[in-house]
Amino acid sequence: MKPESQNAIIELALYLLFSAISVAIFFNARTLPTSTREPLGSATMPQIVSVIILVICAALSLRALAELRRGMARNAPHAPAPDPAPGRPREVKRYGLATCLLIYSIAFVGLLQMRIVPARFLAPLFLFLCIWTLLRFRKRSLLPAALVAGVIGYGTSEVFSHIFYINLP
Amino acid sequence: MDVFFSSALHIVTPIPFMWCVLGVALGIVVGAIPGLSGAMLITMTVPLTFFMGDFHDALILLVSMYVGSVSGGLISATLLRMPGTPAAVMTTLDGYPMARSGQAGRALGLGIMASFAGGLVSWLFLVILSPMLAIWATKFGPWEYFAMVAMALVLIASVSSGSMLKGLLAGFLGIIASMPGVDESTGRLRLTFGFDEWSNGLTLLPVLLGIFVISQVLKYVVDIDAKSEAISASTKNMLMSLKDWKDQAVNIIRSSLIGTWVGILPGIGASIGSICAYSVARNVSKTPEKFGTGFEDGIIASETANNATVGGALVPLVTMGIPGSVIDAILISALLMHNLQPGPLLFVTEPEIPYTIIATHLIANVVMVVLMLVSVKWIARLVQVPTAYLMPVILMFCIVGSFSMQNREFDMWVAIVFGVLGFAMERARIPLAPFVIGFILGDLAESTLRSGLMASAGSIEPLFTRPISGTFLVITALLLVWSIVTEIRITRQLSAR
Repeated sequence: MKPESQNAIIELALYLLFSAISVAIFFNARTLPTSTREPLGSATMPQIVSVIILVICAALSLRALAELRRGMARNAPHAPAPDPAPGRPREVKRYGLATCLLIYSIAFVGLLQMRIVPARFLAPLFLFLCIWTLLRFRKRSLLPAALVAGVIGYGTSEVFSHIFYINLP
Repeated sequence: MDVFFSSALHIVTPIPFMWCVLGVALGIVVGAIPGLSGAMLITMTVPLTFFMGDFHDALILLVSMYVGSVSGGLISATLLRMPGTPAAVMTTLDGYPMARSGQAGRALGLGIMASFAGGLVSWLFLVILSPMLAIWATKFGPWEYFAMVAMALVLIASVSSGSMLKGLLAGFLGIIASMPGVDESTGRLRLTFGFDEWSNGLTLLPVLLGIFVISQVLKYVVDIDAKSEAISASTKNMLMSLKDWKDQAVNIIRSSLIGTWVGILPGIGASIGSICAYSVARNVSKTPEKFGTGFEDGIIASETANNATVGGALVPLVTMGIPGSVIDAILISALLMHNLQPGPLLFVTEPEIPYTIIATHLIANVVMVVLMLVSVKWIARLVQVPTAYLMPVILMFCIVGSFSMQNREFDMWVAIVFGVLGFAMERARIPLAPFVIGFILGDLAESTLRSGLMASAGSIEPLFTRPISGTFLVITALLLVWSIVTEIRITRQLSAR
């Protein structure tokens, strides 16, 4: 799939998400009691803003759909694929790496919240996993990754706990 | 002015001066590293300022970082053809070709001196305009503030990259994200969906860390394989001669004025100022064809203007509590977190605060020019720090930093969720700046509208009949019409293809 079509799909998914959030907020705001001492009350602004978001999302979705249709027409089997920059190596996007980092972050926060392992041990482990993943699990980068993660991870937790007095989990 | 001098004298005492130098140095380094930005650095530093004894020192550090980060972008723009910050994007057009032709030192020198000149001119506006505007702004009532917030949102949405509708969407999403929690007017909980953690609402810092920092980390990791051709920095011919100053005087003054004016407009950042000044310089030039080929006028216009926006953007911040740029929005959040209400009354209740900002802007510019001239060669080496080591450290700081504000685990989740949201929004070309401005100003917009309506017994008429709010509304309407017309034209062009 071409980047424009991919972008259009991401856009559509986002507009759908924002619309769903707006609808939820609109109906949740309707349950708020009306104020007796002021004209506007708590519910009016959230309702106005959620309606505006819905309208904008609808307009943008229509545009994204048109873009997607155009992209699909260009993607038709008979259409030749244009080379955007002849001679230049194609830029590879590493979504897998970003997803890994995200999973590690979720696990890091989850474990911190459960308070199973203290932050001074979790932080170096989290850093090591992230660094080594970004270095594509190369064996020769294992030691430097572990060293940097150990020093910075442990050091940061100690600095946060003993200098800034942040009560890390 | 006594308060200004006492603030300036305070900054040149050893400890505050150390914070100033540290802030500028960190700002330059972060500004120079592509993928990192001043907004990221300042957002990550805000939680640490709670542990600094004196809030004035924290302000000195944050404002110095601001000045340094806008200036540092020129190093990577010139040597790598990758703007370290969006503000330096126009510098790449002439800086890199000039460096490639063996004049890296000259290109960097011009950029540094132009940055200094732009900073100085905008500081003059800051110091002259701020007290006057603050006195004027004390006449503002709720209607004026509401109209101004509306203008700021429309303004930032209309100049955001991509379409205006997307900018508006981001702004309104920011407003709605600021609404859950305790409604200050009634004291009741609203939009919490039954979650206890939401009763305090979404805290500003985790949202900022997520939207600005985690999203950028993810973006940078996705593009980790992007290659750049580096040129080594030389320090030859870095200083501008008297003839250079004479030749460039008009360009410098014009670009400074453009940068300052663009900075003063609420919500618009350094990149727009730089683009405007560069375009004007090319349009009025006798040799416009030389722009983009390593032309000195291009570097001067871009760098003068982007640094001038810093002083300009600080004007609405110190006088009205309205952010002139994204970094100003973060500075406002820092003031709010330290229980200081930014706005005109700050000049009366805590005059040291606005004058510390004003004095720091001047001194940080001087420190910036000295640091850049002395250490540009070494900073250029730091630019190529391996991403694989840097990004995880930043990510960890964000997670821990978001926890530190209130010691709530919930805030770490907020940072991650908003990080993913920011990343997705960027992919969908929805600008992030209006989101943050909406998030910060949403509360102000609602509270002023509600107070105004209470004072006028439910009538919205004063919004249109009061001269200042009426003027703001007319400007807002004009901006909206202009943006909608542009939007329709773009849509027609797209569908005609």
